[in-house]
Amino acid sequence: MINNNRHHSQFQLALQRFRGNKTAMACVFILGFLYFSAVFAEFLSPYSYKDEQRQYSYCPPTPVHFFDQGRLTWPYVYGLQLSFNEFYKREYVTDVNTKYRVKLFASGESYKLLGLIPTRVHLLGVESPGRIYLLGADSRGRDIFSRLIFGGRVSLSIGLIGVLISFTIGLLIGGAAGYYGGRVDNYLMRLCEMVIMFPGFYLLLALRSAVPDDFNSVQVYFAIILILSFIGWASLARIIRGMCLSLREREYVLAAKSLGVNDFHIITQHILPHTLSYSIFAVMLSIPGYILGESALSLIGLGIQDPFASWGNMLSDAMSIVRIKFAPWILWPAFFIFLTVICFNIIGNVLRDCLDPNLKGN
Amino acid sequence: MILLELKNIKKYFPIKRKSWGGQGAFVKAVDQVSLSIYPGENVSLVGESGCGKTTLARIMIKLIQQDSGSIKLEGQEVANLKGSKFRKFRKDIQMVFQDPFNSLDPRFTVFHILKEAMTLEKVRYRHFRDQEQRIKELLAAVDLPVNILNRYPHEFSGGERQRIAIARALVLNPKLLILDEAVSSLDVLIQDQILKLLQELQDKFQLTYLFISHNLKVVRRVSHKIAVMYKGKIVEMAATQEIFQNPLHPYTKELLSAAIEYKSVRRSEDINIHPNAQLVEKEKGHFVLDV
Ligand SMILES: Nc1ncnc2c1ncn2[C@@H]1O[C@H](COP(=O)(O)OP(=O)(O)O)[C@@H](O)[C@H]1O
Ligand SMILES: [Mg+2]
Repeated sequence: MINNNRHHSQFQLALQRFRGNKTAMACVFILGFLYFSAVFAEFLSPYSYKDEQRQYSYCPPTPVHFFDQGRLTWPYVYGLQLSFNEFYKREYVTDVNTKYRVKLFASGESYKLLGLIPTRVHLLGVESPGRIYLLGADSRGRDIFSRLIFGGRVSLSIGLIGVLISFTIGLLIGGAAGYYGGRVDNYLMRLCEMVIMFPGFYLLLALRSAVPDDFNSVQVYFAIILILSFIGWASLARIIRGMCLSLREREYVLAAKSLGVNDFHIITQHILPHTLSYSIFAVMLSIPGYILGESALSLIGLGIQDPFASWGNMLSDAMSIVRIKFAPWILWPAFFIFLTVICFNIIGNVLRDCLDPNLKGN
Repeated sequence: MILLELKNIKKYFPIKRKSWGGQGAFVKAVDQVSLSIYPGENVSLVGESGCGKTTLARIMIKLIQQDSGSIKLEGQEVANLKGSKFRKFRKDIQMVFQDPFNSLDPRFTVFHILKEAMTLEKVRYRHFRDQEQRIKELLAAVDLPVNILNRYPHEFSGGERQRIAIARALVLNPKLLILDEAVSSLDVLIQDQILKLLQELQDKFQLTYLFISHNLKVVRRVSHKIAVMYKGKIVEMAATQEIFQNPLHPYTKELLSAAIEYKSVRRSEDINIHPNAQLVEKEKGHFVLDV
């Protein structure tokens, strides 16, 4: 250590190493961007998630034009006319005579920004009878781009809230098992093993079918979170328990004990902080499980119900190969699920490498 | 007066049962050990790894509870100490741990580590000025510069860390300092420095040391009395000179030749201990385990 005026704890050093990893930082930015857009969904989406226009069913992505007869102009889109070709297949014909200018901060459906500020301003819009489908439309002519943003709200938050709940349960149960050891440890760990032993997906289905089917969407949302956390806490509890078991034998814990430091101080200062910094990556690696779990439930129609959007239930549209061939853009939710899961996995893995003191060498 | 007196200390650890309901097996980590430490008389506890030295040390500072046997500090039984008496016991015996890379919390700066050691003297070190003064005093005593206070443990070498650990153990002005393999992980030169430092500190702070080591040679210079431990029992105990010149127990001879010729202790399975063996005084102050 040449640096004499600023000294860093190992956790700070790990964060520095993490910042030095370009891939991981890119993932952080991508996720940050996704969460940001989920928070400001109403503002960023041109339309509401339930804005249906049946005449635009499976409308392909609308091209935005920047040149008018070779001259740069304000971006605009053409109007579309639905027609059927000789095989009675849907075709959208561009009507070059109608042009609709793309508008920034366009006024559209009214909403409350962050649930507080009533406003009508949307980031993007197009002059009114025209429609802009940046990523195409689904079977009912709803904007996939807008629904993706709204769906991200459900899919992304389920991961965070779910991990929060299961982490709390896991911390309590694992901490108790690890700290007290003996019989408590024995019973709690057998309980964990029972939960882990069940094949997750079938347990998910069984629990979901136990939930009353007249729940509204908010209740379903929380039911799903609870079900996923119920499955997820056990493996976290085992991690925490293992860490507490070894941490309470660390010599600095013994030293603190022999110096007369009380148990509460030891647990909060010497044991829990260590489990927290090491379980960050465990959390990162377990978030994708929640996102995938919600998607799986919604995909088979047991999760979030139409018209509410989640990445999973948007994908249920893509369960037929014919439709995918006809309108490949309905696969966008799959791409975002993939992207999110990959990002969390990369961040988790890089974090583990950075926090692992054995790799401290360089 | 005897500073610390151990009588018939026993600690068996259960090992995992083979089958449900089967009779549990035990590791006899410490088996009927008696030991007296007098003020100013450094005692060394020597024996191969796994013979129960650390367990005995942890029993002495009440980190683990013995199965049976009594511990007396300055004539006072420590089993049921409560409140201020227990705090005084904590202050009087301190320990320096084996692994300097594990005994300092990596999340704490040196200042925090030393400040935490003042927990039992909160009233005395209420003010930052007093804390600072005590910490400076201790750092000077262990030959460390003062400007390291806001550094983290990973920025130090093993020897420096062990100095910090010693400073921490001295914060509360203990009477007895237990050094569990405190120099074993260091290289020979640093070992020498630390042992020299410990000798200085002994005069300065009127300390008594209990050295724990697997190597007889390392503790020769600093100890007055040596107790040789084998499979949880003390097999021989005598003044340092006596042990080196006139070892009586076969295990001590083994250990001695290992220390001098720098070889490892031979598989000592052939040394058997009779279940009824007792420490008997063969010569004046020279005890050997015998039937
Ligand atoms: N907490 C424990 N549980 C079970 N066995 C233990 C425990 N601590 C120590 N032992 C066993 O007790 C014996 C003595 O260990 P220890 O006191 O650490 O030896 P030493 O310090 O002399 O190397 C060893 O066989 C060890 O495996
Ligand atoms: Mg040991």
